[in-house]
Amino acid sequence: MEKLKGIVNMDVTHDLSFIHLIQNASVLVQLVMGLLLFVSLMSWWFIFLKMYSVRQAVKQSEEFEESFWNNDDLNRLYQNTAVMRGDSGSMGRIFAAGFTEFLKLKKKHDIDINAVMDGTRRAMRATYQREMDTLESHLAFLATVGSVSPYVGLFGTVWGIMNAFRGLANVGQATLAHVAPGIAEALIATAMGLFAAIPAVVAYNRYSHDITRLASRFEIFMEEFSNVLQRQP
Amino acid sequence: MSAIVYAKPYKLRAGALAFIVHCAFFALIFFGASWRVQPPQGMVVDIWESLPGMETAPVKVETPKAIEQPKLSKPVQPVAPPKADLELSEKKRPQEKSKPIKTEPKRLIEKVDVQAERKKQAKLRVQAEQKVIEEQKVRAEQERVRAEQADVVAKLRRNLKAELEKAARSKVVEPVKRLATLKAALELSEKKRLQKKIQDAQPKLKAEAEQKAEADQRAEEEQKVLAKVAKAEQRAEAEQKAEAEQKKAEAEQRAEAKQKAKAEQKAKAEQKAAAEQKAEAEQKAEAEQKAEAKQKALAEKKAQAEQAAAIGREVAEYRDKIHAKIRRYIVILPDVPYNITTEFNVTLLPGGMVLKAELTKPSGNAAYDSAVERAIKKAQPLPLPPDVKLFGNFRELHLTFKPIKD
Repeated sequence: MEKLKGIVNMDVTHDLSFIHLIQNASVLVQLVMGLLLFVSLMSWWFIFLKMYSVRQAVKQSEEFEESFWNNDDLNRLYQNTAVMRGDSGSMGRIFAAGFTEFLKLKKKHDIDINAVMDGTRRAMRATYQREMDTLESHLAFLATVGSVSPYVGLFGTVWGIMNAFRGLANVGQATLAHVAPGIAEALIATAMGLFAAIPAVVAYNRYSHDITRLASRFEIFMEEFSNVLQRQP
Repeated sequence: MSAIVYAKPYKLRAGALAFIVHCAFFALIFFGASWRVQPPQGMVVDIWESLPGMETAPVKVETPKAIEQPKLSKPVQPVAPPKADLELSEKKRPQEKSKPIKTEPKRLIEKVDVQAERKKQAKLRVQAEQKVIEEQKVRAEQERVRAEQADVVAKLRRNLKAELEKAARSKVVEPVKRLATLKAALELSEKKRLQKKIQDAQPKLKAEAEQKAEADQRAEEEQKVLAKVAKAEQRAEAEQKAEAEQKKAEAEQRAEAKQKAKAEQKAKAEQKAAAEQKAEAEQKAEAEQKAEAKQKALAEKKAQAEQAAAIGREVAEYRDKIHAKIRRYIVILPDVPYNITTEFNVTLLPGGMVLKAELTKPSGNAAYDSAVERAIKKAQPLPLPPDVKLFGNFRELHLTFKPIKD
């Protein structure tokens, strides 16, 4: 961000380049612009972060499902997953949690099969929730940026325009040249707000859709895996 | 916890990407906003090429007979001066020489104009070449014309010689005039020829100079012959002239006497006429004055009447306004009969305030009377014309009110 100058310089003859506009804006407008720049940077960072993580989650889920359905021996799959651990993906972790719980409960012979299945499901659901929480992290931030930053930018603009018109009141003859620089520099705040908001909204919609699909896929897998476990001798 | 593990490697990459996106965005804004700031570049006008033409042109104008000066020097001149000077000299030449060249210079001038507008160095060279070619052409033309003129002069000379011989043979008074004119013509042609010769003298060819010398010799000889003839005839002329002058003087004296008599008569007649005209003019003026006075009086009356009418109209208008305003404030029950009238005398103060509202003729319906009185009070200030002089018409108002059924 530019240095905060703190003086409202309404020099008409000043040239209207971008840097000068920011430099000449009032303190509040500069603060707003700084905030928006920060928010925009954050939102873009999350956008790229989410892009990679969601893409990876989808890819890992596909790989795991493929290996799950092509593998008859659940024990071997479990060993593999346990070894891979970090790289097995959300679905792999759900599977591992469920299978661990299933094995533990199976060791106790006096327990009913229904009770075993219930315990397994609970364990899987807990992991599922944790995974979903991780996947959905930062999405709320994107949504907030998308909905709020235009207003923040608008606030900066309105404030800048107010200043511009207040400066106009001191001038005897009001011309467009007196107001134009003030309005231009104020409008930069709106531009920045929109710049932060538009990608955030798009990204939020895109990722929430992707994550919803992933979630339904996990749930389907959980149901199917429960059935497989129940059939286990 | 383990879920966070996979996100870590992307954090840096995502941050870098976000930073790049912002850099791109700011670059976009910066260049997008700053290209408008650049002031429009002024047009570069190169005018140096027009200067040589401007300089040389006046010089040519000062010396219209500059063509007498050696034409040889022109090709030697630097290439830089554009066609302008050539153009000018071209213009002069046809004027002094003969008509056949005229069409060509015109074309030339047009060409030169178009080219002068472009004024580029590359073209200058071409122009110079063209110039040389044109000059050559013009020179050829000039020589042709010169030859023609020489022919003409020769013919004239031959004719003159024949005439002179005739005159010499007859030696009578009759051909004197003819001879004189011929002499004049010869002299003129000689002069012209001499001028041409002088003009053409300096050009490159020595042959021309020799020709000229020969021609001069010839001319001198002819002049000598002419002088001999002329001397003989001058005597006869002088005698004739003297007689003619005497006769002329007598005739003029007579004519003057006649004119004087006529002039006196005319003067008398004019005096009379002037007196009559004066009298008429005075009468007319009086009549006009009277008419004007009448018209003025009429106009004044009209104006007064118009003013009065205007005042009346305005008074009536404001009276209606007052009436309407009061009427707006009248609040009555619907059961008031509509065939009643009530009259008020209202005294107004300047500014439209009501000083006094006096009921002069009650309607018989007390409710309506009081309603009208209240309305008069409520309606103040009453509308008054902005012209203060008219207030006299509103000091005492007599207003009549009737209930109106809506």
